[in-house]
Amino acid sequence: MYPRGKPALPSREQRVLKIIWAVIALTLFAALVGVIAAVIRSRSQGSDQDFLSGFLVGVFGVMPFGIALFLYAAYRQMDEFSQQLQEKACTFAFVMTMLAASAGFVIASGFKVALPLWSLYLLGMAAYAAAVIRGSLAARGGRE
Amino acid sequence: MARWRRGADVNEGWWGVNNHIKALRAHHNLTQAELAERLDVSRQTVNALETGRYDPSLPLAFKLARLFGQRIEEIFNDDGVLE
Repeated sequence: MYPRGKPALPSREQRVLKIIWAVIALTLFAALVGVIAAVIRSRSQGSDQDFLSGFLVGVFGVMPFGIALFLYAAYRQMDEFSQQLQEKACTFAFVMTMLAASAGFVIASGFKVALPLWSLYLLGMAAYAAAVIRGSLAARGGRE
Repeated sequence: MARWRRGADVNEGWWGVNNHIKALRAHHNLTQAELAERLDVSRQTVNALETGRYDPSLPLAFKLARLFGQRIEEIFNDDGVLE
């Protein structure tokens, strides 16, 4: 009634994992391009190097959109429960980032200090990662 | 009445929706991973369904019903939440 064995098609989890690996590879490549661009920029003297530096900075700037597309593809491959986990994590990260941005505006204007933009990015990503990990651990349960 | 419909095998969800998925799975001698493969969802989803942490969408509920040869209301029971 229920034939066992290896499924012919890769399972949904395997498909999602494939895309996630692609995202990781793309992110590492983007970081590498960014580092190379920064090194060339710091040593730049001739126009050839200026062009290469500008080109790499342009590539680096576009790559987040590529990563975002891959992440969207991964989201589309997930099942409904995993999609809900992602949505909750994104909502939590969004709220945390907005609260931090609001507090940042008050601190920056009240105390005349400049808050780095990357701190907002870091906080948003940390909140997202924490929510995903928490949700995944809660859903894992015992293997039966 | 089948064994899986009774007492301790019923898992109650957060919103008062109970289900018999765990008992049905055991009755059909399936592991969580095997059930997940047949439903095209992750094992975590099956675990969340069984423990009542997640209520499935209608398409997934229909899939479950077809797989186990039951009607949806035989697998899920809301205890008259809207009444």
